[in-house]
Amino acid sequence: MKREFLSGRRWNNSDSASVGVSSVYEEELLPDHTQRLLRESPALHRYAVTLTCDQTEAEDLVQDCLERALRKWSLRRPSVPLRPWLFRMMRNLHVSRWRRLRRHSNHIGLDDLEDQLQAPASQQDSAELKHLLIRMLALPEDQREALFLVGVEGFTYAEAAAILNVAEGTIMSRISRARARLREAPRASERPHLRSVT
Amino acid sequence: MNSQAVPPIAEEDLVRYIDNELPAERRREVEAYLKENPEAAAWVEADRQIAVSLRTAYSRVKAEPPSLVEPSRGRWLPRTGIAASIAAALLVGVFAGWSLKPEAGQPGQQPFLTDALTAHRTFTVEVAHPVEVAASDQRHLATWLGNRLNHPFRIPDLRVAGLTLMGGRLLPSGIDPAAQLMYDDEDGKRVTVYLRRGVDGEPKFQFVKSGTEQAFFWSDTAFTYAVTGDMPRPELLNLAHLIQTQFDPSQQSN
Repeated sequence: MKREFLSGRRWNNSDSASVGVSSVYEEELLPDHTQRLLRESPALHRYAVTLTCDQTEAEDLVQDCLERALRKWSLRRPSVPLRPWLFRMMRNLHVSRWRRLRRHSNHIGLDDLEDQLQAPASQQDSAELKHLLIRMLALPEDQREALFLVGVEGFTYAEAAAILNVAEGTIMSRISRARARLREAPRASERPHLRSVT
Repeated sequence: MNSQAVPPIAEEDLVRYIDNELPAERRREVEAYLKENPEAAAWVEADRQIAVSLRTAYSRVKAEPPSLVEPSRGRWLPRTGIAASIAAALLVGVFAGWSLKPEAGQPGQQPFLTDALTAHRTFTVEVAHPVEVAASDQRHLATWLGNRLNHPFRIPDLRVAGLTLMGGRLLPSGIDPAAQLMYDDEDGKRVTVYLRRGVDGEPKFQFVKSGTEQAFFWSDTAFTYAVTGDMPRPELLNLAHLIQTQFDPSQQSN
């Protein structure tokens, strides 16, 4: 089906069979903004997983977002950084979709999610990482998002605040609460005595 | 250190400290505080560890490449070309490592490519008889090859790309005959266009590289084509576009 869609003739300025040519070179054949969008898709996927807690929904969301971004590209001011622009767009899509479906955002199929995490059997820490991610996704959405944007994607509080449309102080307090929850490891034996500071 | 002037360190400061959100001065104050408060330092360290682990965990989430290509979505109005570009780029990963091996369901492509590349190698090095019919007899060449290939075609004019027609020849290729057109540039570098009746490939350009030769190949409703040369790939792609446009049946006048 992917291939059929490529059957248009005027624009097949790219090619699928490549031998000994790096993918970077492939991308050179694409329009600049398309390349830029493609480079953002892994980050978008991470955010989509954070928002939806569901692999399939996340993929749909990324797809919707990239399609929308292409349609809206000409409306984007060049001075606006790309990733926050995309994140805001995807978040809006997520919110409207959530409203439409009236879905509970926090229903996670933990087992499903576990299956979706790539974990080489040899990796000793993989079980722990899976577990951490699942607990991350089980946080309330506002905390999860704030921690994701700052702690995983490396946005500043100001940037995260702009994406989520809240005050910087709100970002800080959400992150603080998220971290406190994650610190409270259910495996108390592994992470003891970390609840109080003062 | 003037500890009297330092406002007490609050949890908020530690959170901001972890996220690099403190002004330099406050940051130093927090660092001094952490040295004297191992429990708080452990708290900060634990949070940092969690942050590192989270990033690692996220990096392991499997992501199907977004496929902006599903026709069922049907929302592409104006910019299908971009969609196709994206789709093609995403397919690159899928097809990385693809060589002259044909895919299942595309029988005949391998012989086609092998023949095209072999013909290119055989005749581009030929000094005395690179072509069977020279470009000086271009009209005859077109008619003759069109007759033998059982479908009329116009010999592509590649002069805008700096390539002059040298001539062409008829070649055996499987059960059908094939035609090879040869062009050269000012430096004598040769490019061949190889075509055979029948639709073995796909309308989109596909790329193969074999030794120093690189080729783009594609099909339209009449022929399967390969353009082969030893030149930078984007140039070769431009050439493929140029040839495709001139072979477009909807633009054929003859």
